[in-house]
Amino acid sequence: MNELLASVNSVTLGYGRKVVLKDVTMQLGEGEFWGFVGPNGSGKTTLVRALLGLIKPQQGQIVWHRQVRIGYVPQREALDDLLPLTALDIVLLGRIRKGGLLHRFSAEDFDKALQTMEQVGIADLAHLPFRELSGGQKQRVLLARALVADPDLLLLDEPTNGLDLPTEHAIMELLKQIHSERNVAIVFVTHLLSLAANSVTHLALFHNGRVIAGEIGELLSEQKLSATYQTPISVHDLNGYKVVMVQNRERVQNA
Amino acid sequence: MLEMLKHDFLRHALAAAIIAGASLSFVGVYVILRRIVFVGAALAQLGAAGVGLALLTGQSPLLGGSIAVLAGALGFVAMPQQERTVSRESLLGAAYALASAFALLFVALSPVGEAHISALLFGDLLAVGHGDMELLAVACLFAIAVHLLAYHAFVATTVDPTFAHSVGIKERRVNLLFYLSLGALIGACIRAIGALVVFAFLVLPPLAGLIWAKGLKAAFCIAIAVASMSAAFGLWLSFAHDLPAGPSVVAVCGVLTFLLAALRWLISLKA
Repeated sequence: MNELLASVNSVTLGYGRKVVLKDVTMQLGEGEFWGFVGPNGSGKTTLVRALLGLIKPQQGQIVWHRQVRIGYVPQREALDDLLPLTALDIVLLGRIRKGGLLHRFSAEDFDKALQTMEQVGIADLAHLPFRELSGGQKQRVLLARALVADPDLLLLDEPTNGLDLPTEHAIMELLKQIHSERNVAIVFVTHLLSLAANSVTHLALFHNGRVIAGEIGELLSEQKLSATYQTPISVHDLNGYKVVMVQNRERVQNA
Repeated sequence: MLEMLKHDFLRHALAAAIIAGASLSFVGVYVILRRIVFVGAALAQLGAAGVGLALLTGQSPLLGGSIAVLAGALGFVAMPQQERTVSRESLLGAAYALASAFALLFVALSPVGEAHISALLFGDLLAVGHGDMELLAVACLFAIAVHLLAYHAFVATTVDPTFAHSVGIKERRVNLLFYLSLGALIGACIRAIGALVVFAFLVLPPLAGLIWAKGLKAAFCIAIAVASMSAAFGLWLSFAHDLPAGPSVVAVCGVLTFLLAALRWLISLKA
């Protein structure tokens, strides 16, 4: 087990009286690559918002074991196309630190922003308007904005949603590269189990208001997945690429 | 134009219109980007209601307008972020309608009567004295100084509030500062230029700026330039053709914004 960053202890999350997730327990360690996988509305983003401190648990607690710098990457649609900002303007915002109400960007901030943009392959886009970039380019800008503050934990909310296959593959490869080069812990939210299965070290499966979390080796078995989703699921190896699929639509009774 | 500047009261009016227009259009860029145009309209009407109440009770209109707008700004910040049974927009609509009605009722009930109704909507630019202008300038400078000092925090919370939170910016604190500065600005301007002109400056010049600019700073500069030109040409038009000052300024501002938008559209067709 890597050094612990955060422990989620029997946490129940929701909005008002509505409970979205119940009794979630998991531990996030340094340098781990997590895939939060589940259908839309299953509570993945709710748990991310709780990790960001935007919503408080109704029960249980989230314990941070040390000061953790979080880099958050929203879905690219979160940024309004009305904004007249360049890609560099967006990345620089990542250099605002705690208590940054009066922050002024220094030459070091600009250097770091440009250097990070180069690392994620968008150095040539620095002075282009963000709203004119493609989906994949926007996602890289948002990734650079999160990375520019050297985070200990990257939280990515469905970064490949709506991207074409080659762009989705390129973003996943970039995430794997960032994970191996920087040893940053990553939480990657997706509704595609196959996508997560080929990149992550740990899985959190969101289903019916519950979360089953653990190392990928423990969870990515046909037996475990079938029991979790109450549907027969098969896991195939296609030239080293894992493909997870539903075997048929018959419900498995007493799984 | 030079003929107009020979008169003391017109010089004051011009300075007040340019100061108010430049400040409101600067902050108005955020108003449009944050999609809170209705907040601007509701706050302007609350300011008018405050001025009306002050006229009725014999208090300072500047003080009455400012208190009403600041109370409204605080109320808006205190509104729950999560919309459960009613939307924030509908609450703002209700505030707008009630504030408009009360503004007119207060003036109608006041001893000075309905003569003030036009001033409430379009202000009383030609009656701005030296002391009024100094107060207006101080309030505008304060609001702009707050915006310049907290520039990156305002931009970060406008661009992506969740990300701003993740880098340690206290979003509620920044929003409180934003709405208080907006409230202070509207409160200070409402007596001089009236609710409708305040709202026009908050929306029209920033629209022109955002249509033309490729960067945020350029959008601020264009908005300020459009507001200042509208104030100057509007007042000149009013002086030269004996028209009411406030509506003349709004009309010039509208025409200028429309022409800039049309020009932009024509250029995009050619590109």
